[in-house]
Amino acid sequence: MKNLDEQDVLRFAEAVGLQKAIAQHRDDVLAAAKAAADARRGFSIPDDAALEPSPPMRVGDRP
Amino acid sequence: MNELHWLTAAQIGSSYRTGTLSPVELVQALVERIDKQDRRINAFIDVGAERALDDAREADKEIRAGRIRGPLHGVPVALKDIIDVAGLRSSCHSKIMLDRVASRDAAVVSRLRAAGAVLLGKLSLHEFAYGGPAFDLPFPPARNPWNLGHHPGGSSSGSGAAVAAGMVPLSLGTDTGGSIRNPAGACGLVGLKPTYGLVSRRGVFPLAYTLDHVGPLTRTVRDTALVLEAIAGYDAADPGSAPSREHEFTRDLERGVQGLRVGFVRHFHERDMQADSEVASGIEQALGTLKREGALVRDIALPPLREIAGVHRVILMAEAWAIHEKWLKERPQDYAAATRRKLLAGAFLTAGDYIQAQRRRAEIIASVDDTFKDVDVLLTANAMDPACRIDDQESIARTYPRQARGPFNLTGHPAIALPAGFSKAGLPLSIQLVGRYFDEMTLLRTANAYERAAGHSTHRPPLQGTQ
Repeated sequence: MKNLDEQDVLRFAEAVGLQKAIAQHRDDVLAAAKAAADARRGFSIPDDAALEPSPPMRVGDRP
Repeated sequence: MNELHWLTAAQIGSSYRTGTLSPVELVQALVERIDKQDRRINAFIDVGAERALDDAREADKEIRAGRIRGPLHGVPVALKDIIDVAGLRSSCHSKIMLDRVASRDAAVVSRLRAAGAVLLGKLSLHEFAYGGPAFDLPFPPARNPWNLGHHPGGSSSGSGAAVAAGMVPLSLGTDTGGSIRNPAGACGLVGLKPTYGLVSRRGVFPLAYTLDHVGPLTRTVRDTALVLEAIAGYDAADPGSAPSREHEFTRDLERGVQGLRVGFVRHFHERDMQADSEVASGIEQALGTLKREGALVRDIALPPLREIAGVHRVILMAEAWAIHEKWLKERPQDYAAATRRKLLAGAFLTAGDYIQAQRRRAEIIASVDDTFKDVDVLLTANAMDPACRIDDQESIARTYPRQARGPFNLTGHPAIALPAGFSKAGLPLSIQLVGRYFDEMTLLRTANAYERAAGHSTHRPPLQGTQ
């Protein structure tokens, strides 16, 4: 998700189902959106398309 | 025998075997201690004195009859109130969970019971192991026994405060971004986050599935090894549980570190973040101690803390949101403000963000694990600052992310916090050692050699009343 302005954040939060949080804790919703954006910007995305997420999907390795 | 409340688990076991102490005597002494000290410290949500005394009487009978189950038989252990005990409330220190009574023991509780340990109370925490210290919850936040105006670290705050104040010799906490090692460091204790998968998480309320760990907080490395021997092991009911292997963690404790290769991750606290000068001095002194004990130390570079922290935060936010989404939509007012704000962040991440973080995680894991080809143990900072005041929200927000613990939740390597002296203000300082996957034995052996040489673990907080 791109960086959003305040109205975008609130529209998105509403679409997600956070109406009650918006009504009662608007500042927390806005702060949470900023925290998510900051975290997302905090690391680089790997170049290698073949790199799989960790932990990898594994089957049949239970003892 | 004086000062029963400062006995270690190893000393308690020895006293039981020689008949100089009984589990009932000890539990009675600790219940009195809790009654006197916990009014100010708030480490306990529920003491359960009668239940503990019943268990102690049972242990007493078995020990007297020579049926000693092991080194923890009759030894009291307290649990972070996120760990289920059948028939007891697991509040997670939250209004949301006030009415939730566990129907079954968590796997670690079953293992502690099998080892004969006496369960003494449920301990306070940051709400759902993620929020505050918060003053808008059903229970007050725990305080630091070294200075009651200061934060004891979290999220296993009661687990740290109770052991540091001599109210119980052992506790269990959970660690998703450092929540065992943070209170251990702030309270002058030993705190171990085991290898991911070594200790079952079944029956422990989750915060983030791929980052959560369960482990002990104790006053000595030997006690940590004793608890780990009791709680480690495969559990088919925990999807992350690792296949069984040897779980003898006390065997090599006294072998020392002569010739052991230690990688020093200096850039964490000198370049990536600038540690408080007293913290940095404590780390340098620890480095000197390990060298004097015969360890071969060299500087090692890992990925930068900021990069690792970004990946860790995205994964934690996304997984925690998945767990709390329903409640955040239906009853957001029932969370503490600090918890709500943290948990809501996950709503603003995409599936792609989460997958990218997990892909970057794979690279970070490979990079960190690679260093163990050349070294046996890593030495790093724990917290970058001594504990701040508990009522100073600005300092808490500033110092909380200033730590080097999260990397090893991300990679799953075992990591242990150890006391490293005191600040001029009398607050504990701490270091962190990190080991290879499932090589807790080498990690504990290194920790034990350092503890013995450094001598920091013998200090006790200056609490008023009984000492």
